Amino acid sequence: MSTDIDHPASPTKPAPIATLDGVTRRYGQVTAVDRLSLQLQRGQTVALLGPNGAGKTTTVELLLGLARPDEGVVRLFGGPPADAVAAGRVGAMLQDAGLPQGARVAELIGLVGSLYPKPLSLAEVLRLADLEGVAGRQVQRLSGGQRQRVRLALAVAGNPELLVLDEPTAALDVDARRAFWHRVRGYVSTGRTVLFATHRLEEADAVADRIVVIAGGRLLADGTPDQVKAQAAGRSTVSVAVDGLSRYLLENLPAVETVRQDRGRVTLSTSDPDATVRALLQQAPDVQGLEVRRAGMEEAFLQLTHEEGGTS
Amino acid sequence: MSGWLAYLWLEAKRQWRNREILIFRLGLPTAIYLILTAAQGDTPPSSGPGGRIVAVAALGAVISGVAAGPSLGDERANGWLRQLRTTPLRPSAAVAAKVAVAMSFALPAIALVAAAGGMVGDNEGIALGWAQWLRLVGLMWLATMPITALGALIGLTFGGEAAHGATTLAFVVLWLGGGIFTSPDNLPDTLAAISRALPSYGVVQVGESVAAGRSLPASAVVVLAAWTVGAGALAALAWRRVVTR
Repeated sequence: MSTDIDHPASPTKPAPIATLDGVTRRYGQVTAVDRLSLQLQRGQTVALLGPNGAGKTTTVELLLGLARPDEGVVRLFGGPPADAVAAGRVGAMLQDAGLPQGARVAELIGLVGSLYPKPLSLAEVLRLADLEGVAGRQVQRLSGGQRQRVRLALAVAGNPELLVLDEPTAALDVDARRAFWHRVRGYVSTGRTVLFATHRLEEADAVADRIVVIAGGRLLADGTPDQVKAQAAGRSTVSVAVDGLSRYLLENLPAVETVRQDRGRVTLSTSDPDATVRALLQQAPDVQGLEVRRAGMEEAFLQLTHEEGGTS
Repeated sequence: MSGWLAYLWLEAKRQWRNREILIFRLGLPTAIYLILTAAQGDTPPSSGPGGRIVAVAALGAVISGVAAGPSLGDERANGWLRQLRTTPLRPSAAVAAKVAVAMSFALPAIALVAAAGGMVGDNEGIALGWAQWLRLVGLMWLATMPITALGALIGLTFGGEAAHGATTLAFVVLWLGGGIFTSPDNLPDTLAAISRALPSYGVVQVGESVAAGRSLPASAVVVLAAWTVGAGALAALAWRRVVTR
């Protein structure tokens, strides 16, 4: 049910640097990533956009080889992710990754850099991550923002071709967030590739040149920020009283993308409300409290990415 | 290899500059030895010549040896191990470094107790030459290897707080059950058999045989080797689970 927006076709498309091909990953009963296919091209800054629980972190982990797919194939620089990681072609900032107590900032950056074949110099990394003032400090004495910058520094220290950032600005305020992206832009201006996970549309819009929207582990949209916003804006919601309606029926109505239940009402997001309502009335003629709304921009996006279901 | 050395170096600096770690791992065993010697005076230890030195040195070996557990457990829980896994560092290098650093504390811990024994322990009834002292410290240190492997296994099996708890439990079992202050000879048969199979008892046996000028008992060598291989292999399996979900 995902709707891809085609990229402006370039006649000779180079090989992607990362590919997820029909990848599924389950944790117990939960399908974190569901038949996801995705390609990253060199030089792109790609936002992986979705609400909490959308499967962003699992997607990042699959890409880095930290999680194995149950189905499908993940390739990174043409091979298994572990090989690309071992070759030092990837740098990553994982969500909430801790730092080893007692290590000094410069020591940690120096260590991580020394693991890569062509690292940035320590001075460069310190400047890029704005850590020059605290280079000699032990990590447990850093503020939250400083720690966040250390984690960015560790991701770029090895000068990797692909930078993967999982919710990198989650703990930062607005100013710090802006400064963070300013630094990342400084790093990627030389043709490097970035994939970052975020749940903020405005962040994806401001930073990325391509947005991949996922929810419930599935691809919902993929395109430039303008394309994705246009697609979100074209959405409507249909909501009805929940009485006796089966989730199966609702999910399989035409044009329905997500189904959400909240306090006795079910809200469907649909790209074609006419078709959805027509089919709904046909299959459940005695449905109560029908309401059709054209979604505003933010609301439409929330619909697009809202966690599916929850109570039903 | 150079990556591993760089990581080992940072790991060693990090732990060696921590004063609390130094006091606990190096100061405590020596202090216990001095207190015991002062308290027990001229009563020769029941476990034979040098028995007190060996027992306390083994205690020091256990304290340093299991220390890889909480350290790995914390870093497993806070995500640092996974962060490392995104770098070209060989995945097992982090564990190997923890074991190596734990061993780097065990050596001076044993040596300090032996030195204290050499200086104040006239009542121990041993007369060892330099070479024998070195042999005592060196062999007891090597015998600590399985305990560090056990520490690594605990840290990789349990994350965070649970790793601290499990390490404490292992420490108490190795200390009280492992023949350090109570010889298995005084225990009921089943407990004695368990006690003799613990690696800390192997460390004690190695120490006692060197202090008495005997050759190493084969049973101790077998027990120590089996623990090293067993705990090491299980730790390797646990490691795989930690880094790849």
